[in-house]
Amino acid sequence: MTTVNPDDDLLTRMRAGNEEAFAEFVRSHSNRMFAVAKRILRDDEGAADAVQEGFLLAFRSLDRFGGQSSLGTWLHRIVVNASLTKLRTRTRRPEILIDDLLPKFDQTGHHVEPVNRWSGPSDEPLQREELRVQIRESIDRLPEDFRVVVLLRDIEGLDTDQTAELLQVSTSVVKTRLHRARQALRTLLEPLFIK
Amino acid sequence: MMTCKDIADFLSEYLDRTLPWSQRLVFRLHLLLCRDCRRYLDSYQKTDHAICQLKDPGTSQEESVPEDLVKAILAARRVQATDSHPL
Ligand SMILES: [Zn+2]
Repeated sequence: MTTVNPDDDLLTRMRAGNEEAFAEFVRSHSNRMFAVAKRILRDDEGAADAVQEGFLLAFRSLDRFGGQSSLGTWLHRIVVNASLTKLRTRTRRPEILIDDLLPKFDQTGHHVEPVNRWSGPSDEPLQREELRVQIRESIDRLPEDFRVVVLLRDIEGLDTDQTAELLQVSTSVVKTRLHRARQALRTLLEPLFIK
Repeated sequence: MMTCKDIADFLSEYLDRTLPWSQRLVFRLHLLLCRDCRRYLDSYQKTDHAICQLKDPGTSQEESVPEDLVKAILAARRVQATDSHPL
């Protein structure tokens, strides 16, 4: 038995230039792609531009789509890339220094301050929602290089190799930045976890 | 001997299980003896879990794209198609 991939039909119709197929494709993916671009760029206008550029590039490259992933995954990668390109051309906003958010050690390598014990995450829906909001805000406060790595690896679900490729850095740079970013987020989230 | 700073530096390798076994052993020994590092490890993992909760696209509120943007994309596609395949 063969399973019919719903992408195949849509792809065939788009390749044939079917106007309705393009509309269907845009309508089914635009909300998610807009959310993705907005997480990276943090403003509606920039996100809308990146989404449009992404779709147009995807349409131009339809012939090269090899079907190794779903159309949605393929488009996601293109939109992430379009958003990152846009982000690079922007002037950076003033940033907090990552070093200020990393743990401090004395000359013998011991923690300068005693480390607090953290409580578990709350089961209470309101507090969970509050935590999500705080995490989003904390990610937004990270310096750009670190923020983007967390977004791509932990939120957008790309692996280390894919993240490295999109950011044009080595995999070890991705791993180091991700680790520092998590340490920094740990510092920023600490007040929510200690009683 | 590993210091608390080393523990913090190699935490993600430890959790990813990519440390060589000899270092892993020293790492665990330090954890056994050091309350600060045990707490640090625990809080690091809780942070990681908290971040990953944002991942599920099904539960995060997606912004709806204004219909204008959809129309703009489709209009730009028509222009693009005409440009690349002149009649
Ligand atoms: Zn220690």
